[in-house]
Amino acid sequence: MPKQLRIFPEKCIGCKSCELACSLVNEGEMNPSRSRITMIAFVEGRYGLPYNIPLTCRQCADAPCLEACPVDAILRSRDTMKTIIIDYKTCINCGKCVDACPFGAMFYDGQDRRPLKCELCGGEPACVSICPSEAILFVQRRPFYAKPQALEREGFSILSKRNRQKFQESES
Amino acid sequence: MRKEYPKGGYHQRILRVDLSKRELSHESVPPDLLHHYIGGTGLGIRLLYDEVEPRIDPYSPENRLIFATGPLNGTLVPGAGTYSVVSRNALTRLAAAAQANGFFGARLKYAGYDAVIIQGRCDKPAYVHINDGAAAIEDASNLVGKDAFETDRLLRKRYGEDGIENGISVAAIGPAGENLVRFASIVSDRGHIIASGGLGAIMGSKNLKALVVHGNRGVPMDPQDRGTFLGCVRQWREEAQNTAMGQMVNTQGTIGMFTPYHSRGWVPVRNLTTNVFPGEEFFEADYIRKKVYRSQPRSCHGCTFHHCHMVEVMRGPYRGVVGEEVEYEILAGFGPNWGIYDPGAVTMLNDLNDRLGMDAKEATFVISMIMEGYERGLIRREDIDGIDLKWGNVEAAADLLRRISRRDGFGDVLADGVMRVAQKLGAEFPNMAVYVKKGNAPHIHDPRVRWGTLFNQVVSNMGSQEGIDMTARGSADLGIERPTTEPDEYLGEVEAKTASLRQFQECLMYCYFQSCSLKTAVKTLNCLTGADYAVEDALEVGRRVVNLLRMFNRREGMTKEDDCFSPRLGQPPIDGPGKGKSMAPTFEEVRNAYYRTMGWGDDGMPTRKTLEELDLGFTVSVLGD
Repeated sequence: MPKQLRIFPEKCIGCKSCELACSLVNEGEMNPSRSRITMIAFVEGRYGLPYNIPLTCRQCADAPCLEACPVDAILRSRDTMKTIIIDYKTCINCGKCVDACPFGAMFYDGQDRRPLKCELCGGEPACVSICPSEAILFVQRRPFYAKPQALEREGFSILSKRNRQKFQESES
Repeated sequence: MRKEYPKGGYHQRILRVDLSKRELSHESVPPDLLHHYIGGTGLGIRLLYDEVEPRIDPYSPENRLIFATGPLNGTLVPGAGTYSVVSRNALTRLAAAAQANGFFGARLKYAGYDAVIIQGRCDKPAYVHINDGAAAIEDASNLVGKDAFETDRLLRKRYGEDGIENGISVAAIGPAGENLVRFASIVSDRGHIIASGGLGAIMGSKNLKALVVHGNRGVPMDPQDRGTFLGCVRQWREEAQNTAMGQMVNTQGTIGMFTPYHSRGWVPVRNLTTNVFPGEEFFEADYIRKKVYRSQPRSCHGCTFHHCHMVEVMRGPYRGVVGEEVEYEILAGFGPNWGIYDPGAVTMLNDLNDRLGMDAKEATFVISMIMEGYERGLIRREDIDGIDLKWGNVEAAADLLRRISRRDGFGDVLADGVMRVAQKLGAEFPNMAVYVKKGNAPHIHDPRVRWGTLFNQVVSNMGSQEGIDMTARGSADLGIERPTTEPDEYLGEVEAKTASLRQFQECLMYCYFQSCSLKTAVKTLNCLTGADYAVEDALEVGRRVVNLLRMFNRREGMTKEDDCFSPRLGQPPIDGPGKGKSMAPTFEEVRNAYYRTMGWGDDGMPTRKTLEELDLGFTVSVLGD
């Protein structure tokens, strides 16, 4: 089994160090807008307390970005890591991969005008080593399949929409 | 100074916002100014000294409100989201410099500026939106009267997403700032407060409701240094986690200080009328964190501690209240100091006070003074709008906080801060008031036997703590081996040394709880900016800042008599661990030792020689003959 990032949102304290370490190691500057990982903080409105969710690429076994790329600029590495990488020499900056990723993990660097994705820092992820609360681990795990997961998420929202509708009908 | 300085850490750009003319302009910062003052409080006070005419009213449009960042802001250094606000002080009319943590400082850097200078006054409420090296003055009429958190939410919704923190920081004033409550605060990132100095009132006097900052510009640095810089950060983190303070804050937050402080008699109880608090077991960190709160961490920029949390109260009459986990000072101020025994109630009061946008230091000591007066029959119920202000009456305290923020009825009287209220009420009140002589309330401790805290608050030039309290510890960086356990000359000498260190830290801009060794801080700074500071140079920068603050105050007419404390702070505690001790008898010696170590004259002012040594020759004319 290849090693992958495993994220535990419940352990995240929300410091955003991962974003900075990622951009520092990969882009040579500390700039969250050029990071390949993002910590989203849900502050108010949904639940009483806020929640911190770090999100990044899961190196899907059935990667939609790879399939969507019209010029085959997105490849799976041949080593044991099976990382999905972008070949910037071939990339035409069409944005199809950004559209395709159901998890929003294909980031976009507005400064260099190119897509950005987690390539696991070549085997030593910077976010893992900087995380102060062990919310991001680099461990062996089963391959992740994007399509059933994406449909499952869509299923959740369809279901809750149906339930809300039924509730509203009974009210009126 | 090297030629290529600074190679990183700064944008070298300042934004100037003239609210009267509705004009925005950019200015560059000369490298030697950065080398002399680094950033944060240092840069802020230098800009203020140069720009503000002496003896103008703090509320005058000519006064400047300066938001300053330091070179480390926005980097991986733990707690590097801190920023400093520098202006004239609404309470003391002297200098004010206050810091808040969170993310604001980092995001001001990402927006492309090292500092923002605000001057003039808007004819109607406005806010300033700063993004990617550009700014605009926007209409804030729909935000008038909104509390600080609501303003934060609405502005984040306008520029980002509703209910989600999307790389946007807001520094806003609440109703208190709009109504010129003299101790109004600036609230940023939902719960990180620029508290000291009434800077919220200064912002209110300019009709400025908020600052919104976000951007995509990284911290400038040489990409080749990335490895070295990461190494520095790792070392910094490790050292910060291993200081005594770091270990405590990392595991228990600052509320962990309550029990040890109570055992030393440092907790303010009922306006310092006693030193013993019978409800201690309800204020233990373990009890609060495990039994009272359900919590979710919400840390500051790059922090590694389990410190800041959002909490829901699970016990007592305030079950269901959601707010920030209270810090030690608030816990003491809205708890024991008002005779309140319920940490849940303290959480509610803290949330309310933050939303209204007021400084908890003044709020707690002004209300506790009236509570004491009410209990002793010095003030009648009809004089205080019929509020039954007994010790421990939570709802009465909350009501009074709201009235103060609106300047409504008796709240209008209290809105001027402890010293002015005591003088206005007269009779026994000036002897009950807790303040230092420049005119502001001290940090929320019973500082009467916590010598370092009391003394450095007394000599502080800008209202907040200027040095570091060494009553219970030493400092390897400064060669201070033994703590200052007695109010003697040694205390004065030690406090003079700590002021340089603390003010150097406040130029760098990172969280005080993330303190590492001075050597590591200087190494990190040098790595990022390409400067060549030695440890001594760093302390000299700190010393320069303290001296410039003092010269600013001197120009405003401050004298040695202002370095003093109110009668209540000189009275020895009548019970508890500190019973019978007081700094009053030896105060003169301590103060003289402080002045001497600082290189100041007997009049408490820097000598010409000291100023010239520190490259502050431009201030010499203020000394007079």
